Amino acid sequence: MTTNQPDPRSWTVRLRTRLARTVPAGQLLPDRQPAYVRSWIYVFGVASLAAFVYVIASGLVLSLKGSAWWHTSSAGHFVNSTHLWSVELFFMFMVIHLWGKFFMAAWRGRRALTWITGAVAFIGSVGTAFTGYLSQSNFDSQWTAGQAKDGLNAVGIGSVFNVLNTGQMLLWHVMLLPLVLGVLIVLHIVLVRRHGVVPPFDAIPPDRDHAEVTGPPGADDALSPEPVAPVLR
Amino acid sequence: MITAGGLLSGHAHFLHWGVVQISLANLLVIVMMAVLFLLAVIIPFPHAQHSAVEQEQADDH
Amino acid sequence: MSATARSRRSKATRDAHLFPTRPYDLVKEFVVAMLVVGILTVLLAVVFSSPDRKAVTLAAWAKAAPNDVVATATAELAGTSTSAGYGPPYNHAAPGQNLGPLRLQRLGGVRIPIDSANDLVISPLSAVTGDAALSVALRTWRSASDVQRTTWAGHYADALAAVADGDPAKVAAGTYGPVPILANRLMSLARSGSLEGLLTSGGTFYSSDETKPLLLLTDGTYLEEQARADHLGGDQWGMMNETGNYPGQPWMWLYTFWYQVKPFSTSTNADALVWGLMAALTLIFTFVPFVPGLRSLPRHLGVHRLIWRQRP
Repeated sequence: MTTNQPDPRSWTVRLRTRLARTVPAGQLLPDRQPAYVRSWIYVFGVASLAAFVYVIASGLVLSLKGSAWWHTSSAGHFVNSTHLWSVELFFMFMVIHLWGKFFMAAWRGRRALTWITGAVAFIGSVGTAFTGYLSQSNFDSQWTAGQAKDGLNAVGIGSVFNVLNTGQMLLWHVMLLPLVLGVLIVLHIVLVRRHGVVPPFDAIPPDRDHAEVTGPPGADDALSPEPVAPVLR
Repeated sequence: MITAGGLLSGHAHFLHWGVVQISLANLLVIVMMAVLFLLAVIIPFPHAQHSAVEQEQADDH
Repeated sequence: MSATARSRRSKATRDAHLFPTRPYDLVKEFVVAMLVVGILTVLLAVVFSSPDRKAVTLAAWAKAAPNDVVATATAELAGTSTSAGYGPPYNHAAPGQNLGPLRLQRLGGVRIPIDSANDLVISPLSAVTGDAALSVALRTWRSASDVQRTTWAGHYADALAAVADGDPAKVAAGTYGPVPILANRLMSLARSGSLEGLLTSGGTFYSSDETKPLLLLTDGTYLEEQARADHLGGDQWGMMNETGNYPGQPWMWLYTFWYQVKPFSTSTNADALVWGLMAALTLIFTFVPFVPGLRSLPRHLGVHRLIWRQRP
C-alpha cells in the first residue's frame, strides 16, 4: 500500500527534520522579541553584520579589476577607502557587541557555542584583516610581512603560511578566510536565532511553576540550568 | 600612483605615557568605541516604556 | 528519565521564548543598520580617503641608500645578514626560537630553503652579461673555499663599517677578494630595476612570491628606518599603527603590548613567548563560558543592571 506519509528513513526527510529542529520556523525570523530586549546595546550585532556586508561588497568591487587597480585609479582608491573604513567600523561594532555580550554573560542557558562561534569569528576577522594588510602591495605590506614572518616562523608555521608569498596571502584574503568567516557568522546567527536572546540574570518567566527546574544559584556556566530565583521587582 | 589625499595623510601624531605609545587616530577609534558603548547602555531604547508588552502563551516546544 | 534529566530537558526548552514579548522588526533593524553603516562608510571614505604609501622598490632603495645595499650584499656573502643566520624555515644556521621545551621553529623544518649568499647575490649577478670584471669576480668567488669566502666578505664588512656612512669609496685597501665588485654590481643591478625580476622569476614566467626580494630588503636597514619614522617599529607598538594619521589595527593592542614589556622586550625568544601567551589567552577568551570565576564575573560587575533596567 502506498502512502503520502514521509518516509522517516528518507535522508531528505531526516535533513528537513534536523533543520526544522535546529531553527523552528517561528524562530528564524520572529516578529517579536522578549520584552527585556530593550537596549541600544542589542543593535551592535546587526551593525557588525551590516559592516561585514560592506566589507565583502567593497572587496568584491576591488577584485573586479585586479589587485593593483586601486593604486592607479582614483575610483579604485575610493573603493579601497570604503573597504578600509567598513573594516574599521566592522571591528568597532563587533568589539562593542563583544563587550555587551560579555557583561550580559550571554553564554548562559546553553549558549556557549554562540559565544564560541562569535569569539572564533572575531579572531578570524583579525587574521583576515592581517592578510589584507599583506595584500595591499605597498609599503605597509612590505613592512608588515617582514615583521610578521618572525612571529610565524618562531612557532613553526611560517613555511605553511608564508607571509612573504604575496600570491598566497592574496588568495587567503579574498577567498579562504572570508569564506570561513562567512560560514562562522552564519552559524553564529543561526545559534542566536535558535536559542533566542539571553534573559537577564536570575530572571524567570512569569506565571510559570519553575519549582522543578530550580538550579544551583550562581551557576553562570553555559551548560547547567539557569539559576532560578524569585522574580526581582 | 594615486596617493592618499585625505585629511589624514599628513604627519602622524603620537601620544606617549610611559610604556604606552599610541597614534591619535587609534586612540580616537578606541575612545569612540568606549563612548558608543556607554551611550548604548545609558540612553533609553525608544518605546521601551510605552510599548505594549504582551504575554505570549508559553510554548514548551 | 530521571528527575534531573527531566529538569535539564525542561530547562533546555525553558528559554527566551517563554518570556513576555513585544513587537520587534528584525528586518527593519537590519535595513536601517545597512543604511546607517553605508552612509558612515561612504562619508569616512570621502572625508578621510585611505593610505597608500608606495612600496619601496629595490631600485628606490639603491638610489636612496646605495651604501646600505652594498653593506647588505656584503653581509649576505659573509653569512652575517639576518636571513643568512635565521634558521628554519630558511636554513640551518640557527636553532630558532622555542616555547619552553618545544622547539617549534625547528619542528617547522627548513621548508623554504634560502642560501642567502647564493640566492640573493650570486645567482642574480650570474644573469648579468657583458661585464668582464663581474665575470672574473664570480669565477673567483665560485672557486674559493667557504672559509676564504667568509674571510673576504667579513673583512670587507668590517672595513665598510669602519668608514663614515659605510661609503665603499672610502674603504682602505685590503684582502677583500671579489666581494667589493660583487656588492657593487648587486647595487647597480638593483638601481637598474632588474633585481626584483631576477629574484622572483625562479625559472617560471609567472611570479607571485616575493620571499627573496623581501628577505633581501629586510636584511638592509633602509626599510626599517622608513618604518620607524612612521612609528611602525615592533618596539613602537607598530603592529597597531598605520602610515600617516590613519587608524591602523587597534584590535592588535594586546598582541603588540607584550613586545613593549619585560621579559618579552629583552628576550631573544620574544616571538615564540608572545605567540604562546596569546594562544593561551585566545583559548581562555574563546572558552570563557567554561572558565570558573571568569564566567561569573559579569554578574558581579553589574553592567547588566544598566542593560536590563526592568526585570521581566
